[in-house]
Amino acid sequence: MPEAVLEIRDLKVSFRAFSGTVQAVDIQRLDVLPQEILGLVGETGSGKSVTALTVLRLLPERKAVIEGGPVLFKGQDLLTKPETEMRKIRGREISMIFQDPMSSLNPVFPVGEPLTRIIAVHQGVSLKEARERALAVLGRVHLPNPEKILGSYPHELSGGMRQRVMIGMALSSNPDLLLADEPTTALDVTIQAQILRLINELRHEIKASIVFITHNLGVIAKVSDRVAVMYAGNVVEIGPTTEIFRRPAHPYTDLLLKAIPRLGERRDKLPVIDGAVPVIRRPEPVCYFHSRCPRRGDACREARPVLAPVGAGHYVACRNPV
Amino acid sequence: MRTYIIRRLLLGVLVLLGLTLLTFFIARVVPSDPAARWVGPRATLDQIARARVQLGLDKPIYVQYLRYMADLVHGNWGTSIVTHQPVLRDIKIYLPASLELIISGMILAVVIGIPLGVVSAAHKDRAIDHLSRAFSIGAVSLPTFWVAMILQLVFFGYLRLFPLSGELDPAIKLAYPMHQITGSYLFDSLITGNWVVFTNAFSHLILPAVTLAAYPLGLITRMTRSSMLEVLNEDYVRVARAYGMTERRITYLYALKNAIGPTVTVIALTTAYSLAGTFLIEAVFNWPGLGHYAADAVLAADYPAIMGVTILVAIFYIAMNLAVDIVQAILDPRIKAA
Repeated sequence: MPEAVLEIRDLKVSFRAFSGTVQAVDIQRLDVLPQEILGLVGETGSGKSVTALTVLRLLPERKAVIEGGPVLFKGQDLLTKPETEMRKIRGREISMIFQDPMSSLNPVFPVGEPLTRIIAVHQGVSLKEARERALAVLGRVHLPNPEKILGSYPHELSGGMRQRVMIGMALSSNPDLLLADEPTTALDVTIQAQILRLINELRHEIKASIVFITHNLGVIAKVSDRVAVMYAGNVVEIGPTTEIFRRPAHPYTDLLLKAIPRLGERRDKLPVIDGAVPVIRRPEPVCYFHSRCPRRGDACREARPVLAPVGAGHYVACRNPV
Repeated sequence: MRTYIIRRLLLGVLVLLGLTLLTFFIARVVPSDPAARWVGPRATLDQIARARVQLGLDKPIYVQYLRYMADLVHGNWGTSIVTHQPVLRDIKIYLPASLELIISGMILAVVIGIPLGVVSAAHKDRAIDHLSRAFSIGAVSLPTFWVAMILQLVFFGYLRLFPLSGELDPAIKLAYPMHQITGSYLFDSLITGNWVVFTNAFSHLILPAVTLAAYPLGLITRMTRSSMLEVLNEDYVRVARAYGMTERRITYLYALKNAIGPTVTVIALTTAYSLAGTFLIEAVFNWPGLGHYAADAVLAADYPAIMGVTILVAIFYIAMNLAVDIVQAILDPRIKAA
């Protein structure tokens, strides 16, 4: 197995809230392999985005408590790096694309301003040279008339164009890792398909690993090589995409897949998973899914299930897998 | 951009027109006969009647208004009942001192207030933030005349650092006669290189300017802080961080340009308000500004002077609003489109 680009070990993230501490992430183990697209799926509040923000150390320091680790990026622990070092990594070695391309771009600056600035800072070139490179970047994400786009304000561009600009910005310095946090959720379906195609095309060109965060299983099936399923801050199942979709082992994954409506199949009622993701104020050694699980047993409330292999590269954290 | 400015300008003219109408009719409605006031307390009825014809007060009211407007446009703003001088000439005497005070006070408020608000927002809930909030609440809520007197007590009374009041020491006024260009001692002495007058005028200006700055300073600080807090939570700020931009660049460029809009409005409105609203400061520091003139005019029911000051303040307000609109449009390109 090739050396992982990103290795997360025993990572716990919690937030200090007014009403007390809430645990958002508790990952035993998660690896991102070179040049793969790892799909990170889960419901809202399952800790997907928080995981990505933790990797870049972008969580508000006074509110978020990060424990455990390490989070190794190319062998170096990101959690202990000083802020100045992190700043050099952000946008150059690890990039992030966010959900809403409208609010991700500063409304009072032409989109070329941050783009050229980022290139100039990370690649150590003059602003003039950075501008040339920015034009090339816009061409690479298939934006027509890059010269004009560079001087346009975000409100003058469509949602798809803005997300292309963001993708160009993310890939401008050829990062090793791209964290894509729901990059297509805010877009029309047709634009979604275009953006997915673009990401797929560019990852071969750039040879970056991508963590693709989404709650849309259809999108995951299309783009990712492997899938990690998150529930209540835990990675409960991870494996090759085809494996997961064909033979889901965790009851949660199984139920999620059954809830997808299929074309041509007539069902009056879609199956739902009763209940909601629990808010974890005090971590306990239990399986957090047990209250909603149709396959639960007494053992589920006695100890935390550990990721164990059920197939080639396929791991599940469940005492009673499907 | 040009059509935007032209549109705003036309709007301003319209507002001004409405205002002249209002002031004109209010001045006619008040129960005081301008003709009687014009000729003085011991005039005969005959004299009053003649004055009425002379002042055009016997004509129908719309004719009077049209004449008033025509005069206004031609720079004839009437003659003050008290000083018996053309109102415009009076204003020319009092305005420079006012502008001197307002401009220096506002510069002080802006130069301190904006950075203080930004730093306060960037360090929310820490010591510096608490300090700046206490300071700005104090600056907004302490009565102007009290601030003025305390400053006089400390800096003139105890420390002997600055003069008590006035624009210039009378001795210096006599010893160094000034060539009047703008009518502002500070500015005229600066451009003619008259350093003795300049330093003296400058030291006279400090206490009143600080007093005037206090209220807008507090307001600007609070306004900047609150809109910065909002902007610092925006996605694009997080994105800028995610791309390795320095905190300084994010705060003072990317965030501030988004947050400064409301502050610009506050600056413009308090500046416009100060033009005739600084009477208390002018009174305590014996500063010969427009507030003084306006207050005297009101007490003497000197309608031509009151109307003149009103029109001037209105023009100033309209100009300030226009400036705000233009600055906002430059800051945020979305405004022009709307």
